[in-house]
Amino acid sequence: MPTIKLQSSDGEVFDTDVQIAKCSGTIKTMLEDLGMDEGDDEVVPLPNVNSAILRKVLQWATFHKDDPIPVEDDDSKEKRTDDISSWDADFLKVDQGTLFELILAANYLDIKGLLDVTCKTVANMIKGKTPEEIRKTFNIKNDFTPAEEEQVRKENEWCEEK
Amino acid sequence: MALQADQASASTTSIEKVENDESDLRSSDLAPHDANVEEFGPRYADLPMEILIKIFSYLTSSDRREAGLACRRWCEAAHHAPFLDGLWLVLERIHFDESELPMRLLLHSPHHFPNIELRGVDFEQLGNFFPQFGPHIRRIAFVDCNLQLRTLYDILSHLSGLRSLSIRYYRNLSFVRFENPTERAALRQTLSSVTELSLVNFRHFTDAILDQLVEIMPSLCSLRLESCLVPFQYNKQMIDERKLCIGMPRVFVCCRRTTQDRSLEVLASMAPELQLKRLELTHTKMRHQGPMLGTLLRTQANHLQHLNLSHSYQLTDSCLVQICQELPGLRVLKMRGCRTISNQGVRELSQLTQLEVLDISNCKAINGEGILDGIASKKNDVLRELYIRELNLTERSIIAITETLGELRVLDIGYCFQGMSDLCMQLICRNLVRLTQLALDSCTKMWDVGLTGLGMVQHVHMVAVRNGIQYAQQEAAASEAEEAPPEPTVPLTLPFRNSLRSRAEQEIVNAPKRQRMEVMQQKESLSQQASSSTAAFSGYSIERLQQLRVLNLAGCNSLTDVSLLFNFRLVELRELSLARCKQLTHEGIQAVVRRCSAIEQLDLSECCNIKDETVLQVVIHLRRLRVLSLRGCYQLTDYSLDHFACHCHRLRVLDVRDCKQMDGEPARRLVNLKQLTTLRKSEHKVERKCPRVRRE
Repeated sequence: MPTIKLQSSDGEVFDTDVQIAKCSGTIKTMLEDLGMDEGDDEVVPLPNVNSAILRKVLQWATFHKDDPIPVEDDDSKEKRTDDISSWDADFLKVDQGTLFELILAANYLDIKGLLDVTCKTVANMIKGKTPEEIRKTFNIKNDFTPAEEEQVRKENEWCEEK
Repeated sequence: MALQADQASASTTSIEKVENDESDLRSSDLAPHDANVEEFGPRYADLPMEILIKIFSYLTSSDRREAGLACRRWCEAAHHAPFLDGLWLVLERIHFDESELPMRLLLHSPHHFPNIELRGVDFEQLGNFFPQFGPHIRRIAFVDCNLQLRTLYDILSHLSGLRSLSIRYYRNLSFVRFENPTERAALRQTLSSVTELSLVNFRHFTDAILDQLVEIMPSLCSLRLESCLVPFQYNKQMIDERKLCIGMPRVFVCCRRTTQDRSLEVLASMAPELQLKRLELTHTKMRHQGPMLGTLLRTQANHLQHLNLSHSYQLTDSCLVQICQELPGLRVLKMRGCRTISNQGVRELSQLTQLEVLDISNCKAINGEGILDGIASKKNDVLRELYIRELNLTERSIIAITETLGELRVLDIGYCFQGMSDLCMQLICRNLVRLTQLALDSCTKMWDVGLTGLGMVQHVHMVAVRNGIQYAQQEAAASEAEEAPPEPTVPLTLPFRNSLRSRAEQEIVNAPKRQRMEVMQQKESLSQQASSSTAAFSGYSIERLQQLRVLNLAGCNSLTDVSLLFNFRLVELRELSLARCKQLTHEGIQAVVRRCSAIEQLDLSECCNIKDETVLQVVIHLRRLRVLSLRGCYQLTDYSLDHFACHCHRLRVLDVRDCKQMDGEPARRLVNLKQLTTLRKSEHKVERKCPRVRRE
């Protein structure tokens, strides 16, 4: 089984199955562009991902290595959030900080499946909440001026979904 | 009287005080809240915009709006252009005046409003709104606006991006025309991208008006005339004269007796130039409709995708057979209230393999057999919406629907009270998990076990499911009563009608109590078992339908609080009707409003057990409430009104008819609700807080 070495931002090196690493569009392109061959001892640096998150990402990729290649998003397609598999749901029972890092990592590494499922998890946390509850949940600072907030709030009240 | 007025003013001052307190709270809230934000915590506010947009794309528009209030960046994400497509700015009964709300506020908005609906708006001064926002408006609808032609011209001349124009109940347009050719030419330029025109209820409509509208909208390809008396020859003429200079209509809609007897013939003669994608001819009473419609459909067979023939009383089975055979590309077929259609014709619907929407509600001659042999006879992953209201369906046919139509998004089986049983409900929860709208009104044979799944042992289901499939496949109709899955309270096959009725009545009186006891016992025994063993929940609860936005349980009078206490957590639910569910009490409704916080429309009419404290729970937990009906909740008093005044700042419509203990003029207590446009107290009087009052 060919492997490559991935290096996290804090210097830890992960020996990874190539097939699993190629879940990541970024790594796949890097390998192709750099013409890295299997068996090379070169190390792929991932300066935007720390070791704790990279370990999680690789754990996810290992479990999902046989998934079909995800299709590109179609805007007209309806979006569901209740189709998260139970393994993923357990996997994503993490604190807000880790979830946040996972989203950024999935985005940086271009792993669509992981990005989808993490975004859905965040969406599920938003549903039904008031703005104040949302700020608490996601550690968001209210940077509106009172006048701006009132403006948006009032506009919302005049708008309706049809 | 004076005392009352004093009370009212006292209550308003106290309300104002509350408001002030709230705003104080809000501003003072900021400081400690900011302290709550961890300096080094995850910065969700700073997520890349494309990720925020992706997250928001999984939300309903209502959740998006709430999330947009969290901070500026999230607000920006919530206003991403595609998210605004389905959102309408609705201005109802206001003065279009920049010194007043909402115009004063809207003019300062940094956002665009692609869709605008103006209902009963008074256009005395137009001001800067249309010059500023006009170019971004895609769709505009005027509903019952007292609009002068000059004003209409001034508005339209700013709408250079307009795609769709809709005008309803417009008194003045009937006799005024754009006489000035320069103005017409200017409009023609501005409105060059308008493709849809919809005119409703023009009593004195003439050829000349339509002529002119067509002239100033050169790209028009969808024409909708509803309740307009159009001399139909016009259309023939229009097509003949203008087929070179205007785009041919692709959509043609005539509703409510617009068309004359000859109309179909005229339309048919327009082929092949006329290539209709969509044809709607409803409420027609033509004597020879069958053959003429046949001719018309034949000419349009290659193009037609959307056909609406609702309330055509002469539509025959042979005509439907022809539709099924000759229009294989049909996506939408609506035949609501076509009484002459029978099982014979409905059987053929299985030939329409592209069909996404089917409406055969209220076709009295159809029963379960037609469904079993037709639309539910084989697996179908294309059909998205099915409307089968008020049909005399059997339980078997509803089971077959849940087994075969797994992709349904909308299911309307209101008033199918003969067949809709707990077992059916269980199978809906099991199989139709993608439903967004479900109407089950007046399905009185459905009890709590249907919604909660408690006590529906799993293997019973499996038997039922297998039987269900067999039912659909086999034609054998004979003695199935014994094979039928054991059903705790309701027999699967129905006894004869007479006995049924008396029995049903008896059930309505006795069974709920008994049932409630049983289910409560089960609930207790279940909660005694470790709650971790999910296997104990043997059935399927409504909680499986997580995408449900609209749920209508009105008149399901067998339901009790148990249904609402158990597994009734629907985070996307926007509209809920529990009207006439007379057994519901404070406990159940409190459970619902706590768990389904996204509800915007709630109907609790004639839930006569609810009290003021229930209303308090409702208004505290449903922060997005816009429409609330409490008609006939006679225990409610003025305290409820005060609860509205304190908490319901978004309320637009409130119905408190027949709340006899309430103040006779509730509007006085609700003066601070700026959004409230419709308040119903007595049967004949509709109170409006806004200047224009329309009698209904």
